[in-house]
Amino acid sequence: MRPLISLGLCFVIALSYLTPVLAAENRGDLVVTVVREADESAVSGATVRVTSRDKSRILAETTTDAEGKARLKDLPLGDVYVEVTQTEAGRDGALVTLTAGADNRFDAYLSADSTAEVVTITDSRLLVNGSDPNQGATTRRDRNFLNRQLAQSNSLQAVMSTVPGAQTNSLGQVHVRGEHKALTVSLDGVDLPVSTESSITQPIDPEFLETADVATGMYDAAQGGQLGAVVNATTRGEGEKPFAQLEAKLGDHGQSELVLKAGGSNESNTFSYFVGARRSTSDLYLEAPHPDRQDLNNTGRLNSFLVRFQGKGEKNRYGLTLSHQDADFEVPQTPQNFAAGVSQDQRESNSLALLSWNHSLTKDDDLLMGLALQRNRQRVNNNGLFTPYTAVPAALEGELAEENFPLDPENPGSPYLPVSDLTIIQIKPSVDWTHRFGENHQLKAGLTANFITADQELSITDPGGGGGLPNPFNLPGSPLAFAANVERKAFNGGLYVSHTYPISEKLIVNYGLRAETFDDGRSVSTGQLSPRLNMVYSPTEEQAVRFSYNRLFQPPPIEIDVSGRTEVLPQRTHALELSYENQFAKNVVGKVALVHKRFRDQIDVALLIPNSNIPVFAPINFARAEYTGVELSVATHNKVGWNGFVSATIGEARPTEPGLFAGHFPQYNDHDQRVQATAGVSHTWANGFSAAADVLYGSGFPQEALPLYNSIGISPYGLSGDRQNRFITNLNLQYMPEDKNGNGTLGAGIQVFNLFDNRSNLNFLSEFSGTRFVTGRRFLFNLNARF
Amino acid sequence: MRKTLLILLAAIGFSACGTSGSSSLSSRAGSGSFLSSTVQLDQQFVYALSADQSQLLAYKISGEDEGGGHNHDHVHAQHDHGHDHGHGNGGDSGLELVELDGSPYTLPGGTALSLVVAADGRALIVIFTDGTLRNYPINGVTGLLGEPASVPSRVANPRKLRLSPEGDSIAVLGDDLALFPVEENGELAPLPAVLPNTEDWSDVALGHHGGAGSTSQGAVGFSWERGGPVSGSSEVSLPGATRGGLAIAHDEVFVTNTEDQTVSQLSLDEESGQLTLVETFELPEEVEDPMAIAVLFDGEDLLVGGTEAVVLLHHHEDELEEEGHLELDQTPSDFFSILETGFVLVAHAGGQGFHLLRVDEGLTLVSEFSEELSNITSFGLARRLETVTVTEEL
Repeated sequence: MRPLISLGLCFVIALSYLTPVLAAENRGDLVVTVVREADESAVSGATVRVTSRDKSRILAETTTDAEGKARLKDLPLGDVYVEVTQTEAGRDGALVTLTAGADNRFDAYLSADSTAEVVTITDSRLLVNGSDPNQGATTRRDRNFLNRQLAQSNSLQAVMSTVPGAQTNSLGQVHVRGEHKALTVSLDGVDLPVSTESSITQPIDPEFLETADVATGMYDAAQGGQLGAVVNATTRGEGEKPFAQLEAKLGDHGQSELVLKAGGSNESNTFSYFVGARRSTSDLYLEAPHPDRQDLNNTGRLNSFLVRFQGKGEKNRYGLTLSHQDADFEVPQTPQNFAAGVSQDQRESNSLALLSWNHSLTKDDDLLMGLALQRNRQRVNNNGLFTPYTAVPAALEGELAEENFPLDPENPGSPYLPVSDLTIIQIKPSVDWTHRFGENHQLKAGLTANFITADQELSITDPGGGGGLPNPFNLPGSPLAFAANVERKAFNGGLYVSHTYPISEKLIVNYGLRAETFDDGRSVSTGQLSPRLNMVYSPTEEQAVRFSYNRLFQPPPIEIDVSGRTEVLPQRTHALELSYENQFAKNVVGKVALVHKRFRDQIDVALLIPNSNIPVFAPINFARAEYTGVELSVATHNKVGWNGFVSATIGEARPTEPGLFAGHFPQYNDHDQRVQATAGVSHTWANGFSAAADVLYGSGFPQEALPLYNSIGISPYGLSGDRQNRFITNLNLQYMPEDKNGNGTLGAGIQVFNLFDNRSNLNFLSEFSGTRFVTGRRFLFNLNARF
Repeated sequence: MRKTLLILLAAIGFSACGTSGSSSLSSRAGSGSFLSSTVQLDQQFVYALSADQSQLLAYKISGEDEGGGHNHDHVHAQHDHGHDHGHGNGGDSGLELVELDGSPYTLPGGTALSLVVAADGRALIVIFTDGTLRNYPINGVTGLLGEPASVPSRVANPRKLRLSPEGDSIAVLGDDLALFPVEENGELAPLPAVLPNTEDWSDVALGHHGGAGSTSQGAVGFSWERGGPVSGSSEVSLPGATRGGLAIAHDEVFVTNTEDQTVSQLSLDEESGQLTLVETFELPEEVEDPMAIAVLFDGEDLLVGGTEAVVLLHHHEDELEEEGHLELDQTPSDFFSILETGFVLVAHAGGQGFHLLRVDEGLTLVSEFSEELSNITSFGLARRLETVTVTEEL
């Protein structure tokens, strides 16, 4: 603790000497340089106006200084129009895509010939920000992409599957570069507390997101916590005319969905709001344990609600977000267990309140303060019925017997009666302070804290002889029952300093140091100093080469671990990344990245009861692990016409030492190793009709037990070999016309999930997810009205 | 430091067959943080007493996949299946004795003479030279002993401590014979039934409702119902002038006639305690001075120990057929059969350590244990079949 205290003192002293500033990572700064086209001389006094993409609202306006430069701060991320006018010199304009963090640039060339009243702005944009050393591992998914390209856009897992480096799994699990469910959602520049390990839902319903910038690495020192991926999210409302949108969806397999969205801003854009509500149902809620009978106890329901308010003045910007989700779903059963009447269900709820205040102290100094309050609750219940479990006898196959695998893997029985009730309340204040020295040169410092109160009650009995309950005291034999009530107050806090410095116009470096401490409220109290280094070299405007070294510290979930105790340790990671990004055609960007990560005490997420389908997850440590991956992505960004994307990952995540929780470890700890590729193509017509298809190809190792079963003549579900493939195709046809005259529009669409009804195996008797198959084909029709 | 308190909340006896039963967790809602685990124990611990130093050796009988972390005297004996008596339950998993951490333990309070394990493995009872019986509760999870309760045996010059077949009674043999019922929780009745004047008895064995003792002249039977008085019967004369051990299987009593190199078979009427001589068998010449005897496999086999030798005899109708013999470097003073596994522990009173034998088609020496300890007189086996809930308050 002493180094942390010393660092904290240094931090306070440093604060007293520096002028405070604000920096909000969900906003972007735009630096505009205005010159005459003829001689490239600076144009002072030119008016620079930034408007929303529909041009209904002015987002910011200023004039250039004597050097022809103007900085527009705290602009919303995404596409904005920039218009520059000067009475004598002329006009220029462009569509600019703003990214968070570093400065976004626009060079305006004014020509006396372009003094017409209207500036014609093409849809061509510069999509590579070569001045941002932290943008190399960030993928943007905007609403256009989510609505028109992606069929399952309200599933964060489906969105994440399109991000290079991310490999999706069952039950909402996303494996990003060898990490496990280490996902942070950031709103208003404030990282939200993480959900419980067993939750299927997210703190915020992805349906309500307007954009999602998914970062999988190259973090500056401001970023802490769950760093598998950080989803920097925005919602609609700001810079828009008031709108309302109602969407009704109906499909087979009990699918129904009702979505209401409303939002907008006042004329001066000083106040904006967004309200979203969604209710959805399905009879195929989770990935089922049987390929052909997927609807056995598999109904689910989700209600979600979100309201956001934002206000801003000359120097202040405020945000308030309230979100609530509750989901109620059954745990799908095998035909045998279903026939025996076995029924288990899970209920979960996430409630969030987020308050943010961004204050501009000077023209170069910003301060962002955030306060997040989140409550997650997850409960599992059963109806008291069970079926017996018969393990493989040692005489038949020793290794399967040792791991207590079932004799009949297709009918493993449901021997356990689980009851759980987990409530985690997190209060997370944060403050970030930024000082800009000049273009691409800034210093940031900040503090975050997360006060966590956890109450976990568990009662699981094993009347069916499953033999897999946690054994926290290493008692002889297999426990018949496990019960716990763990109440604790944990803490995770950090402070950081981050400096971005332009060594030259083409070479910009970001370096920093983050100090973190963690106390799990029981037995683990530790911390780490984490240096960060991120560099970008931009040989041309359209190209960027980035290198990054990140030392990361990831606190574990405040939940009972797989041993039945509370001894899981924080994960410590060395992450190296080299990437190359190139906008090689109009609105087309490609990127390739090499990633290597080394983990100590790697946190994985496993079922509390291995070989079961009970969705109570628990953390586990592997003492050492590694990840190496090659990632490739290409995406286009046209408003109309053809669009497409490809994201491919070849990765290998291996534990190399087992740690204190288990005497063995799997060959791969991502069951979807080693290849995942997603691709999509779409066409959008100017009349609002769009047609899209996306595909996901995955090839990996669901479970090492499968070859062992094969060796004794058992091919469960006809599966053989240790590598399984899946190829899933989705279709998305939408008619969403643009509301050009303000009278509202009506639209309709159809989505087909898993067009070819591929029901490949996702996990086979996995200690991490049980047995799961890809959910079969579903149709979903929608009608939407927008006002 | 984490505050840890292990509480054995419940130890509900399960049937001996070990069938799994559902267990209900005690409701702890609202009572603070805790972790709780309920297991069905099926554990076996073996104890051996070194009388010279009052040292207690403790072992866990473990399967092949257990016993990690214990490195002392780690012995594994593979049991070949196929004993023609069909009683072995050791199966192919063999027998593994893993010495418990910290063993041997010193028993304070005097010089210990002999031990038994009673009350379904819940109590280890030791007789000390001053006549005190100390009753140690056995932790079914760890095999370790708790604080003992002391009961005077009321027997002067104690020599032997024996256990009834059901494990619910003990006999202390000294100048008198004292018979104590043992309660289910392992407690000893405060007042024993006493059969006086047993100074010349060399050994005693208990049956279901009575027992017998070997004397210089022969053998004496007695009848006794738990909690009632003991009544002796007339002495039956046996060949020779010296007697060794005796063993009981059902209503059959076998007594070694050391001087005569024979074994006598007697019939015990437990109602009256009357002994009747059935037959006396010559022992093989390999066994000289036969002091120790045990019946195995429900009385089908006899194991007789003499000077540095052991012989296995199959008892069939009116014949004793030798099935094997084994030469040892020490003389057996007593045998202890580990249930019906076919494994037998051999004590060497006055010698060093003890031996583990396997009784199969013949006799095999499996291993020697704790040669540094001398005068190992007796053994006990605690088999714990029960459901136990362990709770840790956090």
